[in-house]
Amino acid sequence: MELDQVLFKKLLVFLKKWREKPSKGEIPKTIHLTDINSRLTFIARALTGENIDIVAAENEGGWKNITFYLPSSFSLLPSLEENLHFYIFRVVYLCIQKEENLNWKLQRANQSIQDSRKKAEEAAPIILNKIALEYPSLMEFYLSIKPHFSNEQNPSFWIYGKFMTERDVLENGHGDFNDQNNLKKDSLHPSTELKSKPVEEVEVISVDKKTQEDFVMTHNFEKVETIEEFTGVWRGFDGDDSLKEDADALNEVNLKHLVRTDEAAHSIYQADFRDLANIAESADTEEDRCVTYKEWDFSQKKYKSNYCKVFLKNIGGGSLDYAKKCLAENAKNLNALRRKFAQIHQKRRMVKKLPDGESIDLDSLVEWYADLKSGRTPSDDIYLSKRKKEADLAILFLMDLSLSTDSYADGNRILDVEKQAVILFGEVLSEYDVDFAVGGFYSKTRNNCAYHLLKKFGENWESGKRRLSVVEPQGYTRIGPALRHSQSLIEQHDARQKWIILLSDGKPNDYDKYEGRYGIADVKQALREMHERHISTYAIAIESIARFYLPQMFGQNHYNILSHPDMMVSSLASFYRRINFS
Amino acid sequence: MLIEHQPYYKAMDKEVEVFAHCFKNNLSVLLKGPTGTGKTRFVEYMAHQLGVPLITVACHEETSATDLTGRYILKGAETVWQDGPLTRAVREGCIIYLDEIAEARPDVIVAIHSLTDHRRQLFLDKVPEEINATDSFMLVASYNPGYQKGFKELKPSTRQRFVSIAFDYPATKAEQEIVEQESGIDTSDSKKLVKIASKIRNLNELGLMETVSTRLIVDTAKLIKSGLPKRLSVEVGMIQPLSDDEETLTALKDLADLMI
Repeated sequence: MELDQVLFKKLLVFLKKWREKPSKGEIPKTIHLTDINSRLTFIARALTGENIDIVAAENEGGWKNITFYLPSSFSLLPSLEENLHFYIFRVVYLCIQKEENLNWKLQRANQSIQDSRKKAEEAAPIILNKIALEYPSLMEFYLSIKPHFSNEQNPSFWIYGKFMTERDVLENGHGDFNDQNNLKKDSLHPSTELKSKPVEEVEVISVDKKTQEDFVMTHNFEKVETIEEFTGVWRGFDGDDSLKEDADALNEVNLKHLVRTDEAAHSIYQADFRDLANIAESADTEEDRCVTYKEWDFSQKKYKSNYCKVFLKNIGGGSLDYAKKCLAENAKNLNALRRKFAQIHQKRRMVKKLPDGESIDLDSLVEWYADLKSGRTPSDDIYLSKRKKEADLAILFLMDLSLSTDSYADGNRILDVEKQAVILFGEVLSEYDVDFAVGGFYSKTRNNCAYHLLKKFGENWESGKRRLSVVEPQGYTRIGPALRHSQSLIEQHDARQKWIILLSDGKPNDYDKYEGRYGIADVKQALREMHERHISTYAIAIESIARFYLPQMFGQNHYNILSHPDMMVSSLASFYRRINFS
Repeated sequence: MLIEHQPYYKAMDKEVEVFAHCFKNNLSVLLKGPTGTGKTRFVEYMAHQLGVPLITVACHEETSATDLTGRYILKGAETVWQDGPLTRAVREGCIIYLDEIAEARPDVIVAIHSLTDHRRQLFLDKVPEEINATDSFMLVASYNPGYQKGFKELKPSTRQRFVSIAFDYPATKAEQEIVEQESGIDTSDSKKLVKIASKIRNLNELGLMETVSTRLIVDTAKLIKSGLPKRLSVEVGMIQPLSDDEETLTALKDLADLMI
């Protein structure tokens, strides 16, 4: 940028900040949707009996399918309390509006916002009547706030919202790129992420290659970087990372139109249609420790000693939100898993010298009698009973963090399914006091294998959950060294039963020959080493490609391929049942 | 013990007839349904109707066959056999009600097997003695299929030995009537309480371990009747028992405050 441009930009940013700064009296009465979203969602779900999502609206909002749109923040009423109540009022209002099915019925090309607002206001009496009938206290609230919304500054659409159309182009997920593989090939990672303003409707435009080729070079003479809204002119695409500079400009763009391209993204401007995203914090790497491991060469039938370097990475930061969200979304599965666990934990052992039990313990009875005869006070603990047995078990989860886990199976990112599995299983294990650890691995040739210890044995599960939220896919899948390092960790544990569970897409590969038979043979050899030391192994894979690799490496009955993430619970439970009884 | 006063019970379906016929034909009955839907009350009501004494055993996860059949106890320098509740019921011809039978240890199920088929016998292996059940002996068990605290299920082979009656939360109208009858509050309040409950029952997907049972509504109604403020009653009677999670509680409170 030229000097004058820099100065202009600085000035603009300053002005903007100055303008945005709220006056002192305003701060405490503003309610932000993000703070009360879960509370409102709860109410909406209870009242409608459907799985309603609540997301921020561009303006006043309305409802569409099972999504409620509400203002992202609200401060028009004089007190914090009233503004909070306003949100609750709007949710109930939308619930009834939805129940009465009051919305635009047909897709009409050019209904104006004024029409939609007018229509909403016309429909209001029906809804208000029902509110008066069913929620009298809310009606009082409505009457008390109504006078606030009758002038130009506070128009009445805030109360009544607007009519929306049922059409929803992006209903089935926003992550559908034309070509997943194209993205995978590129190992570069988005380095900048921003979040867009809320959008309610998006139109997908297919790429017009012809016009793009014919694109006439145009110059836009502007002093700051800008980004254009789609105006019908096709330009070339590129994937350079310039997002940080564009941030301000981006916030001004109305993201109404959308084009899908095959270019790998180098920066992400997050414009999710639904507010489901969770931005991972970047990982801090402290000084990494390095350990070397041998590798098996099947053609020579011998080990290459000190062949692989495994760097032990430390991850910091991360929040509990990811795990919380995951547990909340899988509440049903979690309960199912708990139920299965409870069934499994029914094993009992004989306990003697109890004050009460199924039968009399003869040894204690003899002592009791002897005590009595010798003039001492006997102990009344003379019964024996079968009590529950604690598991003598240590489990290490080994997660594949390679780039291939960034791909999707059945609309679910594999790494997310892996994380979900570990979080759910870990949650229940920690409830049952079973010690476990979580490791993650990826590699970039034998000289650079990374191993994240996400949760150590004996460590608090909370910190494990935090670290889990941070890991993102990178590199390749050199399974052997990761298994060997896991083995060295679990060997130090004094539990009788030791298990290593590998979660991956099942295909060993790295770009220095660690592929095909070589890779499989090394993994097999690593597994053999573990079995010699009485460490058991099991593999869980999510992708169908694993069907070709897992049986070769792990052998029958020692792996499970999930064709759908929903199978996870039953698969984890059946696996756990097996290890607990073996 | 013999139930002297007739307990209040509102029949939902033909369960009273079914139970009476099972009693006549010496069949065992399994009552299944979520907690607080009136299973225990129904058994008390039927025991009273049939004029048979009732023995209730609340099973928990450490309840073993010994607890039901009996055990040796020490008396001075001797061991003496003492009958358990099940043995007493078999000898004296009572209705024995095993509440939450799936919670009990597996050996309980084994112990009752011979009582639930044509043999109608109880075998005490420790005495040893074989007791034939008197005619008015009847075995009733209850079981909560979705009970998520115990996470246990009954084996199909056990379930086959019972005639099963399903219980569920009553329809709105009936539930209102029960609440009014049991607590004495007026119709407008009972209507509101039942409505709050039905909305909260919508939230099963959110991972609430339990949901609002008819019993909880009745308890809340009683609090209101005796003069506690309505919102407070709903909070302590219907909401706090459901969850310990701060966020869930706030949302449930919002919900209830909207309606009462």
